[in-house]
Amino acid sequence: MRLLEAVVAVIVAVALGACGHAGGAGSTADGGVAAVRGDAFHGRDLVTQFECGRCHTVATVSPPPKEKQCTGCHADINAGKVTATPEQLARWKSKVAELGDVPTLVSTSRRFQASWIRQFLMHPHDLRPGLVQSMPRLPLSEQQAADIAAFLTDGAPSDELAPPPSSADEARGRELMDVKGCGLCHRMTGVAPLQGAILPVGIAVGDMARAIRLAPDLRYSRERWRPSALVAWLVDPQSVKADTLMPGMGLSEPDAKSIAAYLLTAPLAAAPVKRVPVRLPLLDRKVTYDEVATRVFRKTCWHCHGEPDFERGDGGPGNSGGFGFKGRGLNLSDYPSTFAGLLDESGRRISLFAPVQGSEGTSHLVAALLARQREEAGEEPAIGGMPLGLPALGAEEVQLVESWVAQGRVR
Amino acid sequence: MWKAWKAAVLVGVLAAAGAASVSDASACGFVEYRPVQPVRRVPPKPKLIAAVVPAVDRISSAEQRLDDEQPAAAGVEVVAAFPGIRTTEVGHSPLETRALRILALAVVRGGGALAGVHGFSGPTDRGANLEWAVSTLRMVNAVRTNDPVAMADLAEALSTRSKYETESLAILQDLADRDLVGSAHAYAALARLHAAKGEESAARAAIARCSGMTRQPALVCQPPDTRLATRD
Repeated sequence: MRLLEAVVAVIVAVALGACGHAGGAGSTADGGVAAVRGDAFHGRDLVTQFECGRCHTVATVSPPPKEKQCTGCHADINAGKVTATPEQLARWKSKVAELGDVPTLVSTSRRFQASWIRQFLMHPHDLRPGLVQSMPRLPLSEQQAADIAAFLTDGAPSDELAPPPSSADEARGRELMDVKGCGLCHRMTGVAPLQGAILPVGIAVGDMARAIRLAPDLRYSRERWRPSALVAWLVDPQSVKADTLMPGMGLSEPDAKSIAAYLLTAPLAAAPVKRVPVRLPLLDRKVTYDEVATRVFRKTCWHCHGEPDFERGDGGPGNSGGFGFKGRGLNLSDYPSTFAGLLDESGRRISLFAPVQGSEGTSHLVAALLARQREEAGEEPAIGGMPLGLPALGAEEVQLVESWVAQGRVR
Repeated sequence: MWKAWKAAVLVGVLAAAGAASVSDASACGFVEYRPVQPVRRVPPKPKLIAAVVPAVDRISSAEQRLDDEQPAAAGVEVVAAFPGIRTTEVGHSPLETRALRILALAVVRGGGALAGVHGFSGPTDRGANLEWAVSTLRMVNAVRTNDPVAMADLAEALSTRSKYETESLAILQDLADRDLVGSAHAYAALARLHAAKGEESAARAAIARCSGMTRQPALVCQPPDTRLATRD
């Protein structure tokens, strides 16, 4: 009987694997033997449902309304295109100066492996060291991630295998990368630091800051890129993705192949792991709401957990819902609202200061802040980390919030 | 002969058309057709510019005044932003809903009257104003479902009218038990309601919470007996 079950399991697994690859067009995601097959048509709907357009420009998908566009609004503020007094504009600019750039999701099918997109959606990590924000952990199922990956790689051939390592090509590729100054924008963790003293050709000085922000860590190239597309990209980036800031470096195809060989096959040391900060003891001094609001709530949280009755907007995704998360009704814009708590899974209001079950008394508020620190360290805690997609609060800020909660949350 | 006559007619038509076009153009007032006149430099009259404060800034300011325990000043700002606010429906626009909430709370905290606020000052009926505030905050509460801030605001208003005391106490006690109240005024109301029922211990606990939630505890968190004496 057991033998029969095993045989059936093998047949099913093989069939699923074959089925996945037969789908082609980026419709598979090799997450093990039982690969999840993606549905590009459904993936397109999911891109809208999960509001990818709040941050990204997505090819063939209409952007969300203006008031829901995070990056678009930040870019408008930075460009001075919003109606505001000079004082307001200066204040807003100081908060979003670094938040106007996010990679556009165009030409993705010409570049990326579907399996990597699915993995990245399920287990996002800091791909772009120069960018303040990062891909958040969204409430996606494996199937939904596979569907989105299928949509973003629709029309592309199946995932490709990397070429076999060639030490000669690798050495030449590394030499070229240093000569061309790739390290001026990029990091490649796990190898000796890239050199980057010279300004790359073909990039305006004004675009350099943006280019550095958007440059990915090249250690992930081997999972992200289709090997064949990587060579074409290195030879002429704009022909692959018209809006890229990556300049054409004047590489011949053999040189591009050498660099691609290095990126795809060079031995990598383990990825650097960010440590979870040590939790500091509660403060002895009095902590007031004003201090917490200034250093934490109004600095970071308020923009997504806002007041729904302001002149426009809906209180932000952390209040009325967004990015696939349902509305939690959490408003951190002022003192009384902070006490009003949030909606739990059943839609019941619970206090933000109530202890999380099984947490030894840690409040929901503090637990979310600590969870973000753990996410940055590569963990995937059950509770979603906050702030979503932004750097975790430092140990001292968490200590401040925790002390305020413990002291009775005085005004 | 025919040709000469035709030429004469053509010249006449063209002349007439030319005259007509000049006339029309002048009538249109285009600059290039205006008769040339000597340039006269007249110093521009000083313009009277009224400082127009956007409604959103006024409402933001009103919110701050209310937070600073200046209900009359808050009311002035709201009415300056929206002169017809008293007859505006809750939910008409987000900003007006916000304005209505502030004004209603200002009326409650002002004891039913707001000095210097048209429609809420002078020989007005404090009771009617408080009823308007209760009614307004009921509607805000209906629009903002399951929002403890709106519920606490409503309960605070209800506590000012004897006939609503039971309802007010039920709302406030439920919210307080779930640690969802962040309003010093709501805790002050809860203290008054407990004190009125002779529940001194509960009243003292509510006053203690009130004191931690305001920068002006001496003003907001008065002992229940003092406040009870001033109620209707």
